[in-house]
Amino acid sequence: MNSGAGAAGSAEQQEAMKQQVASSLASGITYECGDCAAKVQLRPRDPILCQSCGYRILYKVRTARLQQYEAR
Amino acid sequence: MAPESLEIEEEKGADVGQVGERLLPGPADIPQQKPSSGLTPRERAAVDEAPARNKWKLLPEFLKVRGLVKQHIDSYNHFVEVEMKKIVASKMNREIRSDNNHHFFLRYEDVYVGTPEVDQNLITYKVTPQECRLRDLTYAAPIYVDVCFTRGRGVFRKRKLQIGRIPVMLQSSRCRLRGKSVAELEKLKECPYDPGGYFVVKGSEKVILIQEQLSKNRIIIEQDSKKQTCASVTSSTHERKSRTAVYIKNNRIYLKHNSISADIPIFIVLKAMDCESELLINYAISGTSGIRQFLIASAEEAARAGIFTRDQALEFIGQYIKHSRAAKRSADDPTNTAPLRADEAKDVLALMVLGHVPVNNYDFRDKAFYLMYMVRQCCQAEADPSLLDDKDYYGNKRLELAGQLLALLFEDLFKRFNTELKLQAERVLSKANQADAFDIMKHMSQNIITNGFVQAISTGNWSLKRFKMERAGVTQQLSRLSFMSAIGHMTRITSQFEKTRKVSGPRALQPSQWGMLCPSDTPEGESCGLVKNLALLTHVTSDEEDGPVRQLVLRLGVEDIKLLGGEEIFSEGAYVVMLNGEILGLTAEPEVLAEQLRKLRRAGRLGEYVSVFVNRDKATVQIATDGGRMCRPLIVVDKATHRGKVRNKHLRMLREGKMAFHQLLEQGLIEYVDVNESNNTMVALSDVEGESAGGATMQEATHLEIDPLTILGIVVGLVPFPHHNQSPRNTYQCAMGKQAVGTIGMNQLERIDTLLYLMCYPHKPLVHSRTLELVNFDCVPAGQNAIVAVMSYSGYDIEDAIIINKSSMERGFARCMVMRKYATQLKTYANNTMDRLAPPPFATPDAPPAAAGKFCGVGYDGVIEIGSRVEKNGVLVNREMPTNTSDLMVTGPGMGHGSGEFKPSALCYKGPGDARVDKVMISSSEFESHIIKVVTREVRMIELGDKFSSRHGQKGVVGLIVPQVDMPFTDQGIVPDIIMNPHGFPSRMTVGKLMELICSKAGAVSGVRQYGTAFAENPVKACSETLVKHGHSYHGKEVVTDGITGETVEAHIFFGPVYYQRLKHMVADKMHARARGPRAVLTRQPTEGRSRDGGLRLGEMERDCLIGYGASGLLIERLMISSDIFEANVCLKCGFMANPVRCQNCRTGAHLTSLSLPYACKLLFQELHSMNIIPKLTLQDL
Repeated sequence: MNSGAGAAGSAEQQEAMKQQVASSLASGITYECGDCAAKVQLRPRDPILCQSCGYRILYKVRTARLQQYEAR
Repeated sequence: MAPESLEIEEEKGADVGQVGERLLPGPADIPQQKPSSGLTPRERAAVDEAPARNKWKLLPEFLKVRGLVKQHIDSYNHFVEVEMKKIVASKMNREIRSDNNHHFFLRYEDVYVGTPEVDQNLITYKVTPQECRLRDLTYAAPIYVDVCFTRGRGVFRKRKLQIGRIPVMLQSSRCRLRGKSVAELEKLKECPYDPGGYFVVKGSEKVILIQEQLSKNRIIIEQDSKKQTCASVTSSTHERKSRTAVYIKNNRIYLKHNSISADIPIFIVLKAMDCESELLINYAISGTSGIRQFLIASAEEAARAGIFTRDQALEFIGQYIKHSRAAKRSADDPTNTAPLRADEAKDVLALMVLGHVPVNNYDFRDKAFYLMYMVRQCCQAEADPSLLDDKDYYGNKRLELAGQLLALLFEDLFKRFNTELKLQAERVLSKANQADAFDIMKHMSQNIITNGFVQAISTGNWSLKRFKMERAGVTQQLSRLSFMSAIGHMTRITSQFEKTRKVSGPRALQPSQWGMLCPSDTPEGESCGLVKNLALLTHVTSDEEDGPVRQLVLRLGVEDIKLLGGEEIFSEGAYVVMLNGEILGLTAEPEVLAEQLRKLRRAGRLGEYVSVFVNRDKATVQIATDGGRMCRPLIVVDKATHRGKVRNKHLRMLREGKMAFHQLLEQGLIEYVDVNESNNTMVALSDVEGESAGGATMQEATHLEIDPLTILGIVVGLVPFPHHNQSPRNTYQCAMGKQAVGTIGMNQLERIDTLLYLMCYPHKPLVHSRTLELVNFDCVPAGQNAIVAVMSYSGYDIEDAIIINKSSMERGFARCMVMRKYATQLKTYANNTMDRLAPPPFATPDAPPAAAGKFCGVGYDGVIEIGSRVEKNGVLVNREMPTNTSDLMVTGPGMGHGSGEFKPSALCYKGPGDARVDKVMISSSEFESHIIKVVTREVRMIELGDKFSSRHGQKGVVGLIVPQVDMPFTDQGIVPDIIMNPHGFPSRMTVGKLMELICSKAGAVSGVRQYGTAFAENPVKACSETLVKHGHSYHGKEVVTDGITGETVEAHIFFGPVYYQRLKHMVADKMHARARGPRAVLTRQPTEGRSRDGGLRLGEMERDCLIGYGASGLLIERLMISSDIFEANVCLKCGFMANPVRCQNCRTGAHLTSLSLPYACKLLFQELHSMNIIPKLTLQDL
């Protein structure tokens, strides 16, 4: 999501980030339905419900950020 | 070819598993041409009729129809389908009437339970157990009633009216999982091997434990606390419970009952029961023989009290009635209360004393007879103490299951529901002018029943006012440490005996437990022997209708007790026939009667769980149909041929699916035998020629054991060769098998439990058992086949410590995952404000959000991203709480959420180590619109100090982790995973482990898994030969070279695979140290416990040592300076503690001095002070 964000940000950059957060929240965060595995866009305060099957358990999807694992 | 040998051929061909199951496809896997196909019909018939050699094959068939926890499920089904209807239809419950309006009524016509569903925002929909677990819901189904009621002047009927919801037992007849196939279960995210039998209440799995009690409505002859011989009965009916006892004191007989305040001489009681003639009583109690010594004294006592007639006796008893209305009346009006008293006494005798014996129209004949029978038994036992009953005998015990307990609860709740309705009705109907006609439908509150059930099951407190029953700990959270622990939990029995009693009676293994309760599976320590487990095939009966049995018994020629007098009853050779403890009549031919009844039972004309027991010592025939008896299936032996009735053909038909197990029962080939009836049986082990029949010879045997392994429980099934181990070792393994880290179930990754230990690469055991196959342990294993060298190495292996190969560990040996749940919800408060999720804040102006620090990995929605790493105190859910949650005014124009001030109240990761976020679930529960559950996953390798155990009660911790280069190796280059010190064997005598090693090794080299089933054939010799065939030593030993010195070890080392379990006790969860840290608020001393980062206590004994040694400086440092040192100001004049400048007592600061003392000491002084005790400090210079 923000993997491309620069390390040194100015006030403008910060403002841009805020915008980005706000807009992504407004369009909804993507969750996955626990029953039909459909992708569900959910904004804050939305009832937790899969729009396609009505199931009430949603899961977060895996992060898009780069992950590093320790393989021992 | 002789038919006998043919039969063996066929069995071998049909079942490779007898010798072992092939792991790799080999020639044996190619279906062989069945030799039986070449048989002539005659030979075929001979084979079919031959005794069944592999009777154990009945087990899987049996368990297929039964399931592992049928006792729970049957009991629940019986409650829902039968008991519940009975409760609602009972006289006391079926109708509600109002006292002030005689036209009003509400009558229940039927009651039934629907399928599990949940109500949310007025929408009702079906739920699955898994959804309930995840969303913290209760898996419950509605209770519907059909009612007939009045509204205004009309009478209305309503069908399917919901009155509440009842939690549904998983896999019961109401459960959605019932009868589902594996694929369907998978779709419902349910483990196909899960046995069910528990409840899901508010998201947590609850088991109602089986409770053990003394049986109700039976005469028990015992010595009471005063060493008096006493015959007592606990009567239990739907209406009331009471205890009646007859005891002998100074050669006189008395009756004791809890609603009569004094003990009444027995003759007076009998006279009150219409037995006025001493001669009649004498005959009825002692027959023509004599136990007269007690009777004469007792009769004399009644005569001396001047009581000769019934009315006199009733009046006499009336004086002693507790809570007497007559006594209350007499306080107001002392004249002539005697008739009232007598009536009251009559009622008490009819209803309370021996309440389970029905009295119709005050005809006391039956009850008097019953009482006289008790007296006789009591007198006989006084003369001959060997007639005393054994309280620990299992025939005298009953098990109370979920169904019975829920029935008690339901009855109580239903009564409460009805009283509530009645109150409502009366409140409205008593009003003079009502606007509308009273509609009772509007006053139905479902909460009483629904919440009552949920409360009771989730807290485990069964409190029923009616029976004055107050029981705690009836339910427990289902233990999901491993699959075995969950199954073991379902078969557990707790007894109501107090634990403090020092007597060993109730704890000891009782011979009558044989085959019913597992002799090995019991905890160690305080509850040893009080908590027990059911054996593999034990079934617990449900209540059955006794009316038909009663009729049948009389038609079979039993002489009705009503027609007989004392002389006949106690004549030589007359047997008293009792049905559920009630005296029915007499028979002269008890064996014939019993045989007839058993034949009828085998023919299916009588319930399969009805038991008939001829007691020769007491000359009784006891027939039982009541619930809670333990029983087990046995094969019936044919009287004519002296062979078991189950033949080869039956096994073949079962195998071919042409027959089902219940048909064996219906055809009378197998029957259930309860503890009492076991006394009339002779059970042989095998009817096959050449095999030992066990204790009984086939000539005298009446029954045949299905398989000897069924005397053990499910959890002992884990132990290979348990019959070769010292018994306590099996017990230890039963405790440890439940702590083994492994597979919880097939749906383990779908589950969100508070804490879950999972093994990364579990193995099937190389040596397994029939029991393990029955519970599908191979699919949900807990452990790995480790290569073990039994030798000494390095000295870090003393006291059962084990040495681990570092490379094995790094390759994934015993690696496990720890899944932990972190849950939170977004609450809505009274003023309509609500918690919210906030995106991670900007740490610094130049850092992007969520880049680092404790918000690392938190997404824009305020919840951590899956796959991110979390450190200690890292934020998982960035929740914010409104600062004002009570005041309605603050909300202002913005109203509700979003406006107003918020303060952070984030959910943080607490564990000491780092973890990954595995899963984040968001959903809504019954009360909260948003619940968030975060699952963190930690992968753990073996660490020094982690606990391991083999399957023989041999536990040990890791003492050293050695690089593979330094490990010993065999001539084939095999390096062990574990080195175990041989000192573990001599004193433990776990021969089973040695056998497991040899068989595992043979299994590994030949590719065939071996059986280590209890009491089965010994495969060790065959296995040793297999080893030789594959170039190993016959004894399982190897020539080993030391990895450090390169020298060959002088001894041959016992070397091979053994199934090892990793136990849940891990160093990572326990490791703790502290230098400085938090202190308790009250005492200012360091906190206690690892979870609070507490200090390590220097306790009393350590203190004593330091005092003894005289290390005063160290003492002061430990107990004060490093703990709760406090600078107090003391007034030298008055000895009080003062504030820094002024003594409040002397009103001056002139005499102050400062003093170091423990804060706890200062606190003590102040507390004493507050209690008007003044401790004064007198200071002195040293």
